[in-house]
Amino acid sequence: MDAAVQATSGDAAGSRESAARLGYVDDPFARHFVRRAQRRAPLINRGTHSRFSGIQRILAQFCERAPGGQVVVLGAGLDTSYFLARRRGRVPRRFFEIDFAEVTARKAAAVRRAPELQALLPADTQVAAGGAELHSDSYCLVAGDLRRFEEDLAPRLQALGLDPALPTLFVSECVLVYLEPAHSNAVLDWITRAVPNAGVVTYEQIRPDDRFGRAMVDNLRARGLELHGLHAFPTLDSAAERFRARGWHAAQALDLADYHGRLDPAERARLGAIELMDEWEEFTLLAQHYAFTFAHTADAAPFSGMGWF
Amino acid sequence: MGLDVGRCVERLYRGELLAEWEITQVCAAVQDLLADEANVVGIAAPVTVIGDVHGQFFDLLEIFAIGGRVPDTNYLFLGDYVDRGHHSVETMSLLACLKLQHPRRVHLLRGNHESRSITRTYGFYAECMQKYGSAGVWRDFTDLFDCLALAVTIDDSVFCVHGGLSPSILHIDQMRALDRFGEIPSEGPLADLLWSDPDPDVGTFGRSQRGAGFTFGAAAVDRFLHVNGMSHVLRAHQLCMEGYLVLFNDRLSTVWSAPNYCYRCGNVASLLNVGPYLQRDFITFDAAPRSSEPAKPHQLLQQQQQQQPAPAPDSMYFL
Repeated sequence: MDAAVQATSGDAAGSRESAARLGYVDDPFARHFVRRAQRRAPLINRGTHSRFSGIQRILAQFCERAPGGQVVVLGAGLDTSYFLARRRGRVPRRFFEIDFAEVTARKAAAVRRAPELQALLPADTQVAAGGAELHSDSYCLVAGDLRRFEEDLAPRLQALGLDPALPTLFVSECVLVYLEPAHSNAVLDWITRAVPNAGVVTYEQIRPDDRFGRAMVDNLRARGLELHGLHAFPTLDSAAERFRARGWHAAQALDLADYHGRLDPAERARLGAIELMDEWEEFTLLAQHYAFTFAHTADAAPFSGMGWF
Repeated sequence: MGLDVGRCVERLYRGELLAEWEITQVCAAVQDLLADEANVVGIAAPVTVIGDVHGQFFDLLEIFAIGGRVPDTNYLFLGDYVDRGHHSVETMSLLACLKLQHPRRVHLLRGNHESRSITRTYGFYAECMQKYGSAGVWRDFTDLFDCLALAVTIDDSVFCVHGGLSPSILHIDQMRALDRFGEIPSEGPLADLLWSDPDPDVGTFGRSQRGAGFTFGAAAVDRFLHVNGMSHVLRAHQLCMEGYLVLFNDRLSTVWSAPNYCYRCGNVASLLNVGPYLQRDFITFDAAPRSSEPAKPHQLLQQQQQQQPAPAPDSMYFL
């Protein structure tokens, strides 16, 4: 099953590359992480745009307001956010990316093969863990298993410079939902205890109980993917409640269909001009089964006042 | 001539592909038939009305199993035979042959997917290339699409079209005057008929987010039915999770006939029996089972299907 979850990093990279190549999103680096470029269907490209937009918006707000803060990307896969932040000239003090060794090794190798990515790495970057990790004072690619977050990953992150006293944004895109609730809760519990000024932004599946949700669960299961956390937090309310129940200061959740609907009309018009999308009902159906959450532990900068709308 | 339509139909029911020369001849013969059909064809009840099929060949066979075989049952298909599903070629081949074999028992309307530009994006062109190695079959079918009728009236009372109404068309006579023989334009009345959607939040007509056609509301439907002396609008074009949707105080129905659309939506589908007194009866059905079936006409295709991998979630979901 781990292999199937790891393979999703390739799928996400493929979707990002398709959206970037067609002009939905501005990501010139996505192409370095895809072996064989494939054009996704228009509704997938549209969804990739919304997903990218939602996550990048929070990342950009954080980097803008807390240049001395830290970002930790859980299950980062082959994501390009670090390089995009470097290109923008707005990086936080430290940026950590975590994934299985199989994935981080692949990422590190792709980075080393691409001169434009090499050029964006900090000057003090060293290869570590036999090629599976990259270490520097401000950017680390770390191999590990999120099911062993407290006992293994947390100490290693701190040894690499993670300072829990600094404002820290944790990012999880289709990651926590693959974990059993016990494991994903353990990660959130550690953050609650150890990081007084933390923010979390997630992007994950919801609504497993309607016809579409059931078909989604079945289709993914047939491919070896089990959304272990999905039934535990099946609605927008329960997704947000999971943070409030831990005493976090605030939590908000909205689904991707809602997010897309609230995009600037000019932006939606721009997307419509890229390619015809004759799949509106399905786009809405699909997008209603994905949600962003954004939550933070304290009523403090930079997180208070951050959000989408 | 060499073409044996009856044999073609038997082979197609078994899921066998026709040879390229057979498709060329079938399409040419069907085009000749369609050239004599008006833009708006009048038919009589009873008839079974089918919505979007989108290349879901197994489910088309299921429709015939539930609704009855041609010519025992009269059928009206509201368009969108191709794209999205993996067996658009088999679907269109069978429908074209059935039309040739029983032209008064099978009526085929044009959907917005019966178009060159749409089929290049949404799968039919790629499927033709994959199954025949060249674009000839796609050209034959798209030439046929140019000739499909725009609308049907059942007993001068039920108006049937793929998409919906047009702000440019109040009276059906205006439809009769259109030149339909060509590619669907990107705008204008012909585009509207194939692309528009009903919307309960709209009065008469509004903008459509599809980029073609309009949205239309109860007032537009009432006016159209009144002016034309009709009682109901039947259309397809929009996914219905429950297989069908009735709107505007039973003045308009959407029929959707592709269950578990794109292997992803989890929806139920329906066929609509319009009885001799125009009574409407929806029959819903689930996706046809694809494994461990006793010997049936489509067994060969099912076996082929089992050898194919399941549709890949990486292109279906945001992983």
